[in-house]
Amino acid sequence: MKPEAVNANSAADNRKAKAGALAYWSKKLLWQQRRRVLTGAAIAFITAGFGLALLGLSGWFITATALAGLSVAAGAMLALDVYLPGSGIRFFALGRTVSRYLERLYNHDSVLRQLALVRQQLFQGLASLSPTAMAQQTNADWLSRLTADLESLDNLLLRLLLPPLSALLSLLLLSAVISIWSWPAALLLLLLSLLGCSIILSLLIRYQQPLSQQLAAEFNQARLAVINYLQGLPELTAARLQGHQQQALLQLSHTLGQLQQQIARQQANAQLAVNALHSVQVVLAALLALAGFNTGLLNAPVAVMLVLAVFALGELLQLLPGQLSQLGKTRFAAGRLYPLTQQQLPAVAEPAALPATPWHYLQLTVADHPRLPASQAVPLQLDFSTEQPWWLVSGRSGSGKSTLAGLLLAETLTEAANAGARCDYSIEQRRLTAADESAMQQHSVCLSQQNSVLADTLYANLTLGLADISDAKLWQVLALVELADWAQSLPQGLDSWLGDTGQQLSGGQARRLCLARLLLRSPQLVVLDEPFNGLDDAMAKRLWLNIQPWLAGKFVLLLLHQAPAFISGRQWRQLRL
Amino acid sequence: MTAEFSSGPELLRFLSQQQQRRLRLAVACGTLATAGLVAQWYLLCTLLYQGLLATPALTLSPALLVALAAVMLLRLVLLRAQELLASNASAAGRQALRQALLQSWQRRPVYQLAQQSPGALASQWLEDVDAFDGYLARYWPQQYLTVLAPLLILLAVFYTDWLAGLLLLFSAPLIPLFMALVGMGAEQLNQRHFLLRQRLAGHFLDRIRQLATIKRLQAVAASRAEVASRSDQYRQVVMRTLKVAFLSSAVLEFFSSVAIASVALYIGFGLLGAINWGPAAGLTLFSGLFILLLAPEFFQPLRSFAQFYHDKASALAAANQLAPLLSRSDFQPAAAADTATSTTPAVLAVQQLRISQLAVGYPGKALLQDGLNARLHTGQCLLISGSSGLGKTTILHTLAGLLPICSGSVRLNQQPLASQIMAYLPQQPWLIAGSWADNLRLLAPEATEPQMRQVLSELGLAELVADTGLYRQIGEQGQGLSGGQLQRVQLARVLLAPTAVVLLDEPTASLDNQSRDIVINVLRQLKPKTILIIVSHDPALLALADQHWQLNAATTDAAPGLSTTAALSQVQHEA
Repeated sequence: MKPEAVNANSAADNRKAKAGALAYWSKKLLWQQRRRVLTGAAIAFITAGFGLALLGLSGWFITATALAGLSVAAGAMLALDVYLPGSGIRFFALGRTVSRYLERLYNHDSVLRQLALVRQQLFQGLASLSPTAMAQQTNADWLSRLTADLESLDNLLLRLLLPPLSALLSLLLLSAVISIWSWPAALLLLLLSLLGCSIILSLLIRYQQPLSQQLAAEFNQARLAVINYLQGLPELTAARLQGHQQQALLQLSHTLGQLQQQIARQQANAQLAVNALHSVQVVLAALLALAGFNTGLLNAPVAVMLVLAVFALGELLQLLPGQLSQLGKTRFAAGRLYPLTQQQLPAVAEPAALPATPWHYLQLTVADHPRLPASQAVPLQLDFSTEQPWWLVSGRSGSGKSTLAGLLLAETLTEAANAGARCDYSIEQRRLTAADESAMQQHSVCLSQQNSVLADTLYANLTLGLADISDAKLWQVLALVELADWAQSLPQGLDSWLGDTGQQLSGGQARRLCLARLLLRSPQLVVLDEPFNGLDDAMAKRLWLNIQPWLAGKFVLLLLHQAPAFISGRQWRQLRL
Repeated sequence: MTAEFSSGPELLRFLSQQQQRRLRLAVACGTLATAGLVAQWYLLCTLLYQGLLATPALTLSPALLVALAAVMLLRLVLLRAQELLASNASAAGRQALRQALLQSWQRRPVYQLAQQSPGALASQWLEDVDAFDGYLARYWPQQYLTVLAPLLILLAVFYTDWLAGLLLLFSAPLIPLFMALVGMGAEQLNQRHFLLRQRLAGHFLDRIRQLATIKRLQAVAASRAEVASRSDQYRQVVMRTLKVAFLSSAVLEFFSSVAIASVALYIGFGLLGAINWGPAAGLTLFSGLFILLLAPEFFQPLRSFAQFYHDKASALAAANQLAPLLSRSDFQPAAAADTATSTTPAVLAVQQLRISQLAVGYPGKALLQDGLNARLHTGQCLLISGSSGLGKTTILHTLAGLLPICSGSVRLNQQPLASQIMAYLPQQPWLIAGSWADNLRLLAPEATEPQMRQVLSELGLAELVADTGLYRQIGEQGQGLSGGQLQRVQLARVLLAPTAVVLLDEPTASLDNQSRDIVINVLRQLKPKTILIIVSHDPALLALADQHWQLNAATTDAAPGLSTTAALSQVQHEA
């Protein structure tokens, strides 16, 4: 969740945003997919209808046979066709099984299609975030929450739409059938069910909603409290005060438990009410059927058939409280995912062209940057020119090396300005602004401190973002970073899978792979952040020599906590942060 | 230490055993509710039979109607009681589990816990424990009801017509058999696609994790298209497995449908008089209807059981995570744990601390320091200095009881120090998002408001907490507080809850001169009342020290451990 978005909004706005979020996802996932959703609903309805028909027809059949049996015993001829209803019963029995199977298969397919849509949408949204916001969003805790939220969106179709819809359609069908004999009775059933269910379910939703929200809030509070406790554990252990804090945590857990129980109790109450409603319906149906029989409105088999069909309706109604109690969770997830989809790519109108390459002069001046202590007393100036194209910047961690890299890549200019820093960036004579970020990306590469290896093939990892790269070129680059032998030893060569489910890389191998990725490009500006991490000195030196031809003629910013001996000071202008 | 749980299922068993009383009652309620169900349909069939077929037509007896309503009501009440009992059992079980987890955290050495992210541990304590809910509240009672409820129904059917009973009885064992066969098939299919499926499932999260790189390499559009195509592939692979997996519930559906159909046909033909053997001749509309209504109910418990099966799976996954961390003793009420806080610290005027032949280091790794000796009494100060990496902080951790002692001993008044109350002040103090008062009370729970004001003004922080300032929020992570103020908050806690031994890690590092003077001044005032052990390379603190350990790097050729003793220069000042 984006903190600024949440803080700015009042609680009421927040609620509106959440309602909007649910509407947004419903539109996206249900309305835009309406043909599939309707087909799925139709199959679900057929399944439900077969269920009603199976029990109803069975009831009709045994009553009819009982009557026929009595008259045969009394000496009359058998005047009942038993074969048609018999095969009807068999048909409905088999049909219900088959259509239930198809229903589940079809609707799960729909849900997986929806998932694909949501993933694309979220990917787009996340890609439009600024680098800092992105870093916040892609940590492990956040990702696991994202996974859970994505799963909750399944509920939209499978629990919140289809079960109530097929229950409603079956109710209408049954009422229509009953109205053949008596429309007041049909109307009574319809009204009783609709009114009863809607009162029960809306009460459930209304009372459960604030509780679920409170539960989510308590849950977050408990999480914070546990994290606080764990962080203070050294001090608490020394002071023997763990017990004191543990009591507080257990109190929180108790509150959580009580809230969850309250929610469960409400669901149980709704279940009880629906069950009671259904019992009343069955008894009422029995009494009305008897009354109808006595007045000659319908015969005995039909009376039993209708009562049993009403009985079968229970199976559909009883599911509803459990399914609808997922509404709170789904709404919560929808609300959390919604802001991500509202990210717009900064108007990609015409990336204003940067000066034509090769560049001769580039200058960046930074003053008063809060995360770059060296810029606070006097402005910090980096200038690259054809004569002196290389800068070596060193400093311990926290001195702002990566911040400087972000500025030079024109990625964090806006954020820096927001934080009160003054940046002046120009290439040749043209001034650069934050809007030039993507244009700058075309002319720059960056080896960041963290290795990033995609879970994909070696080939895909190397050619990420590039088209039409020949294998020969790849092997050439792999040789430069001394990975060619290793790649050849892999069972599937360039097509070998890397990452958790494939080939594991050592830190040094990953580092060289990330470097190789850059060597396939020919940018104007190269930023190398700790390029020798995880490499031994001899290897680092060889690699450094190997890439010299590639570095020639480019502006290079080399960031190191300590420069190794093989980097000769003469070629480099040096800056210590 | 007692035996730990060897497996997840064992932990699940243990937990449900603890809540056995409530859970068994829940099962009893559920069973009675089934009996109520049988009675309910019996009465309804009687009603219909009397109304439709009885000759001469009987008038509806009000007693019958009242009985029917009463039975229905009773059944609903029983079902409600079942749910209530089960959810109470689940809440109590989870609370016990959380308490046990806290115990196990307390039992484990602090350095081990520190290796895991607090966020991960917190979600263990919250989400993993909550995953037991479905198991305790739904799965456990249902596994008995799945046997008991059909058995009751079967008895009723047998009593009415044994042939119909046999029909149901024979279908029952077939269901689990077929479901198991289908399940095995699905598992095999799953295995075959396992790697592909795992890779496709992880694709999206992986790309989001690497989004910064993707963006820098201008591969966003390509990756987005890839997300679409891989998601689609994922769907196809998953559907291939689901096609088989869903067959298992189709089996259940099939048998319940077929059982209803065959019972209906049997009854119909029996009533017609077409079946001339067995009990069929005795069938009436009443018994026929009764059996027909019971047939779907016979399969209902099994269907619920299949539904709750994934509750068990997720509980088992959580239990497998938690089982190695917990032992049975963690579930005992923690009586002994808090005794230290309740007994007032010994009020000996002069306390003796004796460190003899202490060796420190992380378990399983080489010793960092060895053969450390010191003898201190109240009013004395030991200063530990040396360049980084020599184990200064490790020594403090060992003294504070956060790390086990490798060898040697540390005793305060003949008792092991690690089991006694002391104050440990790390470089970064522990602060929470709360008020000043909250933060002080974290480690000085008994402090009163006037005491807090008094101590804070001694430390020169009075202006920060003037008026209602004690209840003003202190910034989280110390935002808005300078390093000097942070150190003084820590010292305020020590002054509010004095202890016999105070351990300080670099109390003056990265402080401006003024704050440093204040901190040193407070330490000087504190010294007569306690034993100070300070890690620092601030020369100004040397004046405070009665003993000084200057740690030197071990020479590489000497035997590890011994060399440090040789290199250790002990400077003894007379107090």
